[in-house]
Amino acid sequence: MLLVPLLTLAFGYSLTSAVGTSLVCVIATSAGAAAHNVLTGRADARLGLILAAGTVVGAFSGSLVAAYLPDRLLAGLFALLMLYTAYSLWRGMVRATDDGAGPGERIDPSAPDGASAPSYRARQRGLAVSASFVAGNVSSLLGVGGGVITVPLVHLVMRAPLDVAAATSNFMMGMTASAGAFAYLLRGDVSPSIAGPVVLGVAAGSFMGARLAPRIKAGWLSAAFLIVVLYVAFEMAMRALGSTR
Amino acid sequence: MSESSPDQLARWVSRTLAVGTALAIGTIAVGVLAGLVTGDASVPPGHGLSAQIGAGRPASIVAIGLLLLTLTPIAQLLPAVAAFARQGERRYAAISALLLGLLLIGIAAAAILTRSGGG
Repeated sequence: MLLVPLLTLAFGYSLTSAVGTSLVCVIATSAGAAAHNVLTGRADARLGLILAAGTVVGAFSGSLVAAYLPDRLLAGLFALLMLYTAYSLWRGMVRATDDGAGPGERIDPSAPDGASAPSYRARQRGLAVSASFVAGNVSSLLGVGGGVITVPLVHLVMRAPLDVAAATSNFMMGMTASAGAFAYLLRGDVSPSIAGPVVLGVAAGSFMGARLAPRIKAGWLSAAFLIVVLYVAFEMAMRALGSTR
Repeated sequence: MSESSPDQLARWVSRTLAVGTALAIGTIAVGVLAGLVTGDASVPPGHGLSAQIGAGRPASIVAIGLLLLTLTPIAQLLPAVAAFARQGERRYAAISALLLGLLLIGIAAAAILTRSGGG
């Protein structure tokens, strides 16, 4: 999520180039984690496939529209996304999120449909697919995974447990980012000389981060991320208000 | 529906994702290293992906790696369709096939639009 502002604000790349590069990086981080989450049964592949139909269509429409949108508008949308992310982080820090599963309810995300299927899979499905379409648009327009929308959607609306929501969202993210990234790749918005080292760095960073995260206090991590997100929102808002394409 | 069916789906999809990601990251690493060794890390002339790949420079290897990486989440749908069909879960086999079709149609549409737009 912070790659787009890093490439644009610190290195001066255009937003479309940064978004395309970021989408490829989303695939790099998502695919490795999804391979593990699907194998261990943490991700609900069946629910992920249903919702991915919405995100993939959204991602295509977003990536095609992105080529015609001015940088200032994209920067403004990114600032709004950062403010929403900051609000979600702050809310999570203030009150601990409860688990969607009822007390004692046994949930097997890998169970096929039928008597053993988790109950959340059928809950508010139409609304969830529609909201997934919006998440796909946000993903490909702004170069993010879309988890900022899909995790709360699966957890709070469909009432799946938070870890299942996060793993399922990650599983969908690869397909969504892939759908969005193709238009940027084909247009030549993704420069191999920039994206190559960035993908390697992001892949190495996510590998190390997964091992370091359990040793760092979650509260400190959230607070630090909140400050960075607010700073990025401010910078992107300034760009939206002050610069021209 | 057999009891081991979710395992089969999980194994096939997981293996496709793991192999695809490793292959793509490995190809990108080779391209980046080749660029560092030869001192030719510049972007090949031409703007489109096909021009980048066809240029025959280290950055072309990176472009192939990026293409492999982008194809990996799409490729996972092939074993998903096969696993669901084999397990008798027709509904999810159809959803996976629909998703695969959507992705392929979307890529073809993006390629046509890019070509007609001069990209």
